[in-house]
Amino acid sequence: MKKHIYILAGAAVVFSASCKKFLNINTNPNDPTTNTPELVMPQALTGTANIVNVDYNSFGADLMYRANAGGFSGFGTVISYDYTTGTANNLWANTLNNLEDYKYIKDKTSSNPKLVYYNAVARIMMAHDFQLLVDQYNDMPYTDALLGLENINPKYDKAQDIYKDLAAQIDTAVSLINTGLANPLSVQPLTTASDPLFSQTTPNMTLWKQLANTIKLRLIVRAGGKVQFKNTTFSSDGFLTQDAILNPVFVKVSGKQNPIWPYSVTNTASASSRLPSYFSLSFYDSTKIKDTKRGVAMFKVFPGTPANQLGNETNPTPPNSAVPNYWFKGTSGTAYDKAGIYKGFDAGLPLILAAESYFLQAEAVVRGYITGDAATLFNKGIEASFTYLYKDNTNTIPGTGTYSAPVADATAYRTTNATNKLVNFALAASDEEKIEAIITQKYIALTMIHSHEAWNEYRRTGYPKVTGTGPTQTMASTVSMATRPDRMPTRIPYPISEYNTNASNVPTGIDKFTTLIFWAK
Amino acid sequence: MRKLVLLLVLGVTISYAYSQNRTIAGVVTSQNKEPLPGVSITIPGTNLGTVTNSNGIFSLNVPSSARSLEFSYIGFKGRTVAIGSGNSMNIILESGVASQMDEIVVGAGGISSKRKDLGYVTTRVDAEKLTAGKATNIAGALTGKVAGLKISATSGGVNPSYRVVLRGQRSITGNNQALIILDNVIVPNELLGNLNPEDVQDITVLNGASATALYGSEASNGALLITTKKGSRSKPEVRVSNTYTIEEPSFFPKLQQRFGAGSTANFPVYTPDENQQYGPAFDGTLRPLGQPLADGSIQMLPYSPVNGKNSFWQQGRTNQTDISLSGGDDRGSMFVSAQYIDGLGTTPKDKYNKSTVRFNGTRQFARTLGITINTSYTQNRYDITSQTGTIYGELMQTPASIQITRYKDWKTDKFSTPDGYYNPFYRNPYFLLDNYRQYTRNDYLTASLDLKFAPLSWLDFTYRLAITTRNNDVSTTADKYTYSDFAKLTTHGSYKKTDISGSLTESAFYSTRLNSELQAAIRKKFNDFSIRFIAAGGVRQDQSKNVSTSISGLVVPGLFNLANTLTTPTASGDKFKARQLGAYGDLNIGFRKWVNLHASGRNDWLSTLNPEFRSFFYPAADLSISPLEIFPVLGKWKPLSSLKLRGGWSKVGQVNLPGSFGAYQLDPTFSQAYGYPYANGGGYTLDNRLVSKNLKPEFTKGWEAGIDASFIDNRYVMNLTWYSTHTVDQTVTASVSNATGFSSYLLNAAKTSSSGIELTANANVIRKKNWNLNLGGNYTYVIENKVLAIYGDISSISLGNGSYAITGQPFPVIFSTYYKRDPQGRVVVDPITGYPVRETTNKVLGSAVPVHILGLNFDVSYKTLRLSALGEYRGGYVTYMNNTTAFDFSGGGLATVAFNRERFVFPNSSYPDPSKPGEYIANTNIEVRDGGYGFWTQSVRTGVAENYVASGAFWKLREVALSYDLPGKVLSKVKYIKRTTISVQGRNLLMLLPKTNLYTDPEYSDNGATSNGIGVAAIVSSPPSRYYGATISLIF
Repeated sequence: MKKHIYILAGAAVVFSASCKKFLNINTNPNDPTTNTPELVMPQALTGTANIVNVDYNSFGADLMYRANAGGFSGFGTVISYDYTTGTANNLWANTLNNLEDYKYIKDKTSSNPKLVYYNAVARIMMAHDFQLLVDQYNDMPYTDALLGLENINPKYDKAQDIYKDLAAQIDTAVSLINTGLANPLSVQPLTTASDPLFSQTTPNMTLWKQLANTIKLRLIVRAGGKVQFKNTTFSSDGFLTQDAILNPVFVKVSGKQNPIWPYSVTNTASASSRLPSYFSLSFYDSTKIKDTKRGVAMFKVFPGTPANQLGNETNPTPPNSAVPNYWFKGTSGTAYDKAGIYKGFDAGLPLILAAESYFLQAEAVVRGYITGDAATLFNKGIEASFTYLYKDNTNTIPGTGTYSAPVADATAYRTTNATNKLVNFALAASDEEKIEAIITQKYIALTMIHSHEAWNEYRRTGYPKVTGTGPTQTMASTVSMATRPDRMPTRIPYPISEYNTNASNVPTGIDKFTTLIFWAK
Repeated sequence: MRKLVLLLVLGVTISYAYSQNRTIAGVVTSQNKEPLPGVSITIPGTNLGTVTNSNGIFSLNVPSSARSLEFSYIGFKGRTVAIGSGNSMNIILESGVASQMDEIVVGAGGISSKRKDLGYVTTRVDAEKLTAGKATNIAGALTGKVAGLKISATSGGVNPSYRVVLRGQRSITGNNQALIILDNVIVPNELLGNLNPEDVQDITVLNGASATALYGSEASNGALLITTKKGSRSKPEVRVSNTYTIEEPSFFPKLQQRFGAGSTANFPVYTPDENQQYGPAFDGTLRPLGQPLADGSIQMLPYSPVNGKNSFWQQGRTNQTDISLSGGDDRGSMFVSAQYIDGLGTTPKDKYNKSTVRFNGTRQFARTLGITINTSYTQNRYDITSQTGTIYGELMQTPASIQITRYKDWKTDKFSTPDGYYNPFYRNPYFLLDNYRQYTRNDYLTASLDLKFAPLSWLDFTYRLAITTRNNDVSTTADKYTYSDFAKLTTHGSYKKTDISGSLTESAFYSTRLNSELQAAIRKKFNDFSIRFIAAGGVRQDQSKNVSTSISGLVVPGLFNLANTLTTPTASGDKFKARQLGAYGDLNIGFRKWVNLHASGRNDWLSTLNPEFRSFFYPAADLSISPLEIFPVLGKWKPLSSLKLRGGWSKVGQVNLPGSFGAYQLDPTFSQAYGYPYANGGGYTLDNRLVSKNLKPEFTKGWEAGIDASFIDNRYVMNLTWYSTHTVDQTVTASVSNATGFSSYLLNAAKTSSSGIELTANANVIRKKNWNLNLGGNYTYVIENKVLAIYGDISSISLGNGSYAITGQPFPVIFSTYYKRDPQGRVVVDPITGYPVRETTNKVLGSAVPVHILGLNFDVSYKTLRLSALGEYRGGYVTYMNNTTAFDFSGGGLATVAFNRERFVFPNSSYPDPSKPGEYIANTNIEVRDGGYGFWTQSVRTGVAENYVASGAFWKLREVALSYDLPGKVLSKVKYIKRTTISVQGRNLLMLLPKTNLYTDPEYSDNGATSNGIGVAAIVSSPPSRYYGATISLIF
């Protein structure tokens, strides 16, 4: 009997052990379950560039630059501004999703001094992303945000408090980079693989610090004195003087092309449902400013580019769009100008334009936040805009041809419009006129590139000025339901998902026509 | 698994022992002393048996372990007779319907019991009832026939998908479909559509979990037990039949026939190339259509309605041929069958065929060892367009003055080519049909082997090994097309400006399930107690793999090969594996014939859960009481033939992890995103889903109680069942605030409950020598089907397209946009535009759960002429026609002419009183600014979901069948034909919908057959169909 018990017990042990082995087959053969900051960072940076150039830009473009084309219908809230909690939810979801990747990098590197650059980049980019969100939604989760299971009902922080901490995070990032630079042998440098933004050829931490300063400047300028920042000084590295362009080596493979490139890998394209707006064109076609060179770089068949006023669907019937659209400088997916907005399937994506950096600096000088010569910075901003539009898919100015002399063309532009105070900074007498010139030029420079920034600046400053309801007088829709004098909305509501999943925290009573972002007019 | 096989072999070797046998012979006769030929005689618990010869005589070799013989014969009451000491048995069978109570029901684990001993409800559907309507799909054949069983055809097309749910939905995001058990083996649900209904002996429906708990962690949804034919022990019989079925679209969305092309607000203007139908009223004049072609020609068409859209759909045809052979002797039997179905769908050029072969065999090797083998191989082939939904949508964008069939010849007719087609926004559907195709190949193999070893009269062992495998590949093709320069330059719309570069996607998939189970059963009698105990253990493994490769940009047109491309192909693939161990015990104790108590317990171990949570136990118990046996005095009341009271309780665990078999769900994954990898390296993003660290199975606890009674010599039968289930700790993927950095959270949280009543009644109204009339019905009433809680602040889960699970609401509900209303319930309009005002939030617009389901059937026969019919009603719920906004947008829908396209005062509306905030003035005079395009195509109409929610009620005439056996005189000339039957039958002949439903069959689901998000019907599948056909069958 005893023997039998031993045998049974032995069998039981063997059985239960092999049973465990039999069932322990839950290792995922399809996707990695662990990863490294070095592999997450390039995707996160490319993600940010996608979000800015696709999600935010196209949302802003409908508000600021373009109009509905003929042959399409069903524009809905694009032309009525009757925004709902379902409007532009991608801005919220995609940016927060992108932020979580930076949060992962930040957490994984915080106790690893070797990866100090990764930590710094994560902080800079988190500041960048959070500002994108605050500028659309105002108050939002910040201190409780991105904690996953630790807090699934994150409370909302005041927008001003978020701004304040974002600037502080940038200060930390800059000092972390400096620590790394002081001990080059004990830190792991960024690589072309991990940093598709600034390390495309060699690692460049100075550019990262300039980007950090530029983002901080944008926070301070936009806050307009409504935020008590801890530290309003900047590191000696200065601000971006070149376009921050990201390129993970886009290629002509489905899903791996430049995401704004309007042709498929087989070089087919559909016609866009949008046209340039008369308002946008009025800054090129002499209505407000004469700017033939940039007009040619930007628009197909300029001057005489077909246009419409947003909201007009029938009277007169709006022209049809071109294939793929009237901002595309070319005739097919293989014959194009490599200039303007669509430079090629392999062109990089701008994160921040040098022009924006210069116009931010010019405004900061006018407002007394930094010292410098506003007029010089203003002119450099215009030159940088010409330069970006003229640059080809490889981010260089071609040696010959229409797009070979951006600085000279910028100078000629100033001469042509010498009596126009939106172009000739010297004519802008008051600070307010200077701001108008700066923001109007920024509006032109951002056209269809970072349109949401133009929308932010319009809401903050009221420029470019709306002078009436005519097609060149306003960017507002003819069928706007907005109750404001300018007939423009002021913000988008929080997304429906917040009301469904975080109802106890999300603010209620948000009105798309009256609720303002804290810095807005 | 190897271990189990070993164990079995060991068991066989050790305990195999010969026992003495003898031969028993006798005669079976009727009460009138007429010998009965072909009476089936079996030894319970074995495959042994025989049939009586033409003189009613039988002879059977009986092992000493056998205790009784079972006699059964159609039209006579079955008998189980104990074997005495003698070698001869003369049996008299009583004519009439056997008491339902004595019917043998095969339940979970292949355990057979008498119905009177069961403490839960079961419904048996026999082959005759199942195949009367000649449905090619078993789910279709079962629809409306069983109380508590809701089967919905969720799509049209050549092989429609079905959703099969018992007792409503319990699990919010997990599987709620009934378990499918084929010959005692759990098989994947999709197999239901790929079995040959002619192979089925019967289907037993086990509505509740008490009956199915032994099947393990999927059993909470009830089960359909399908038993295939095993062949009779009589002379070989060959059956050949052919069925020809015609399929016709039976319902089209209601369309307006008054206004033609145009898309201007405020005043209608005819636009020759417009798809929207907001032009002037038809006046019969000749008007141009489309834009001039390159040669300057343009179509001229009378401006009058021709109702030409619906003629796009054609008559479908199905030809079905069946052959089967069966036979056997006292040691075994064999059943071999083949079926070939060849069909054309209602969508032109859609083709489908299905071939099935089956071999079933039983053999008693020795007195103690029997074997049963069931194998079936099915292959189906689809050649269909991938664009049915798109085509349907584009047809709707066709003005009523256009005869669509005129554009069939898209290759040569200049007005029909993609370049010349009049509509610049929507393509020629005939071009779509040809240019976008999908070829699907599915091969299914199911095989099972049952080895039964009965060394002692009270002890037997069964070993069961089964494999189910599916092999699939799909080619999806789009040919290239280059538009002419003229079309590119002149067309108003956009599609002609973009060449179609052509593409090909090749995907392949396999999925295999292995089951292995060993079962030991003990059956003993102690005085008044009869005891049965079963212990069993088994393993299951599921494995699958899929790969997919795509190219776009064909080099040579019309050649669909992955190498024929200008671009880099893209590829992806996944593989999955999951295992499960289970052990169970099942105890049945009967006391006299009075009461029967049944209890079971099962423990499962799943590979898909963390080791500390992967093992879980769940018990079930039920009790049946026979008052007639306990109180014989009741039996004195003549009308009552039988009576049973029953009740049961069960708890079943279910692991409802998403994905294939729930494998690999516990660890968050990283995936490449935003085009990564690029040449410089890879780039990963975090999974957006949070996963609870302690994921456990969800548990369903259920109660059921019922009464079964029959009256007047078993002619009137009634079963009534009440059930209640409560499912807790549901595994759900809840949405979480994006501000957490994630978007969803997989956790155990939600609770649901459901309860209802199921009633089946059958009346054998006339039972005469030549005449027989049966009336029957089944009714399901859902008392409650509710979401009790989800998780924390999270009170809703989207199930897709507007179908939601919401705390405190029926499950699911339609939750979407609606008009603002004043306190009196009037719609608030804008006092300037007269347009109704939309609310910015969503609300519950109705429950998607039918409260009442009623099936009614009758069959009447005179001699061998038999007529049967089945109707079904469902009501008490709503359906959201979620993409029918296109009908308003296009102006083709009937709703858009409700006010003659003139300005109108929005019905039952009010507007805010400017002088008294919060009060409203009844609107009697403010008309909408535009009663045409400006209202119907805009978001004030199309952006409001409540406009598209209608009652989901329907009455359907599911089946009508008339069959006739040719009289013997006709047959006597052709001696070898035993019987010839001809029949005509129709399915879904009639569908009655309420007036508010303008669009489609409420059974359709936009979310697909497997989604719990029911109640969302879209116009994406071909229109609902009716079928009628004829069958001739010969038995040799």
